Amino acid sequence: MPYAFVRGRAFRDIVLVLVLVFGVGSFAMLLARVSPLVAFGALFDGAFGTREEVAETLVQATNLLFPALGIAVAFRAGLFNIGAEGQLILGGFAAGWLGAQLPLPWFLAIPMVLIAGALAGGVWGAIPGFLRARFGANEVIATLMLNVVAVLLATYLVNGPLALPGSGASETPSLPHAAQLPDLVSDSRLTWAFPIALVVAFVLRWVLQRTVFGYELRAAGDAPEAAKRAGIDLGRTAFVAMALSGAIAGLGGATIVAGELHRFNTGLSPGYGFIAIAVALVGNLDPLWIIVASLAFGVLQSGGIAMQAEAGVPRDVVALVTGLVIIALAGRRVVAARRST
Amino acid sequence: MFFRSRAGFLTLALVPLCAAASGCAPKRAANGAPRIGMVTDVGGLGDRSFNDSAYAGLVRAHADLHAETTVLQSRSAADYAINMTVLANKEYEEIFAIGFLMAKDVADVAARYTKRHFAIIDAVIDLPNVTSVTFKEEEGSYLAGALAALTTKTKTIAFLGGIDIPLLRKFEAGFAAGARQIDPSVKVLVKYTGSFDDPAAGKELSGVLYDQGADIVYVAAGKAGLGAIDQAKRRNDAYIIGVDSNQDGMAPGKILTSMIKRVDTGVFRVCQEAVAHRPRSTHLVLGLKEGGVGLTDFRYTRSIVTPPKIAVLAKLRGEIVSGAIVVPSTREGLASYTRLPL
Repeated sequence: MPYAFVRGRAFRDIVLVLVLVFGVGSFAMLLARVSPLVAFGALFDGAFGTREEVAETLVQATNLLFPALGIAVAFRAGLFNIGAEGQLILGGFAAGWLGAQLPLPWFLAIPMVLIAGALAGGVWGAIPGFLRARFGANEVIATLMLNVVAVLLATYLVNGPLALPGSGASETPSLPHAAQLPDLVSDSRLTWAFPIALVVAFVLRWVLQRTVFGYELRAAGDAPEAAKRAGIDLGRTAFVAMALSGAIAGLGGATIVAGELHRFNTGLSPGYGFIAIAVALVGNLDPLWIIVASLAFGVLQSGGIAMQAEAGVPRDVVALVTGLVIIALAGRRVVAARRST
Repeated sequence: MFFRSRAGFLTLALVPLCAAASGCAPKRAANGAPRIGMVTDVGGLGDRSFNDSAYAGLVRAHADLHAETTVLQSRSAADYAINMTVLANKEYEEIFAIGFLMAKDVADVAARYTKRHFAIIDAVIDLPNVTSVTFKEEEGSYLAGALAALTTKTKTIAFLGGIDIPLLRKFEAGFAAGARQIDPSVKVLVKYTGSFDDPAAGKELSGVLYDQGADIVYVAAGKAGLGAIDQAKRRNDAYIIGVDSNQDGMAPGKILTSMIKRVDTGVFRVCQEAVAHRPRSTHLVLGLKEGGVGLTDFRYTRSIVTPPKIAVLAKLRGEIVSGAIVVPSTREGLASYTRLPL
């Protein structure tokens, strides 16, 4: 049993994250020769200053929420899925490619685009799930490598067999209006993706806490030996958990395509699938807490760019802090898991 | 545990929302200085070409027009729309998108932010709040082709492009037409590298072109041009014509000239309109006449580009500016292009 993600101790985690964000963040801002007060002021003003900026913060939160929920499913089953990025990209590709082909009314086109994204992401997640269940292959390596394969596969498809004549960009044709997720707020990019993400979070919470499948999944993650003796099929659980994990991340990719970009582009994610690891861990792998964590990281994402524009602090500060959060939380959990075995 | 309790959850969940509600600050007081933002494409600043040239225009707007300027660099295509949205939210008066790769993102963000104004380089977007800035690359390329035809000893010259798209065919058609004007018997080879960021492909394909007998290669392929310059350096009697910015000094003597595209001029012109609060142009087209394209001053190649050749180029330039020569911008146009008796 390689990893057991010890849950709980959320309070300590939150304190640790706050120290990292404000402590290390301030230090990095001082290195950029900007007062942390000014820089954080610009960051929060950029995230909350106007109605439109709040909307963009929610856009960023949504883009992190989907992959973070997917990651949480896998982690709860004891599987370190770091392939959310690839699952999200292929979900976006399936959505963009199919969406551009469908001359359907919106009430058929939008569900089909979203389902296509979830299916593609699900298949991509199921591959390492199968390898784990059948051959005991390490899912960390498999998911990490499949990220690269996903990007290259999508790049090949949009530049090769599905290339648009006369376009120099690596992208699919634009989605027809009927296949686009409607805007939620005017003068912003906030679409119905946000409420969809919230619904997914609540449904996922219910599945994990209140269903037999959720119980089996948690048992497989928390105490695999006991789960096995109790008759839970660990291989099957791993496979289903990974497929579900990939499907949620793929759905996220589909909402980015159908809501924000209105086409698939190979560069559609600036690393949402990796930042989402931090979101899932800060959210203590609990779907409702992950909503809160995604809002917090959404603030960092949208505010970070505004901070660069207004205060001249490179937004790498945000990437730095995010990376440290992942190392601190994931590292602490692995250490805790080692001690408990 | 506190955080496992429902009340604790709700408290924290509400924090961002409260901040959102109460933090809605009043609009920034304008201190008079217009704010102009720019979003680079993935090439970014320091590309010694397209983005740097655009940035030079922005720097000039800062110095001459006292505009407050900001640049956001894009690391992936996802950043295009995000960066533009952040600048739109920050009430920048003009938001520049550098490069045709951003065309769909500009169309999308501009349609959502109808109260903001945008400008895009190298693409045409038909929206009332977007200024499209394009260049007549074919006119500058025409002069480059004429110079190549005047200079070649092997009667063979070549064009090496990036991706085979209409924008790059403007370079190709103009170059071939200029060569035909000087000497219809000069052969013009054409190849495309398939990308703008592959110096190895540029080196290899320019080698093929030189092996096929070309002694001058006009490279319009972004970073692939660096590989082509490297290839030319290793050969005798092999020359390059550079593109976008003045690349002559990158291999003194080996680069006949560069076809300069004054992206900085385009950016500055739009900035002037923005600062003066004039109605914005919907489409700025910059050719030889407007000083938007042109050749360099042959600083390192004076021994090859002799005064008689320069005189011919000056004459051709005059004919294009006056409209006597209409340079083709497509392959179809090139096919039906006949040389003007001069």
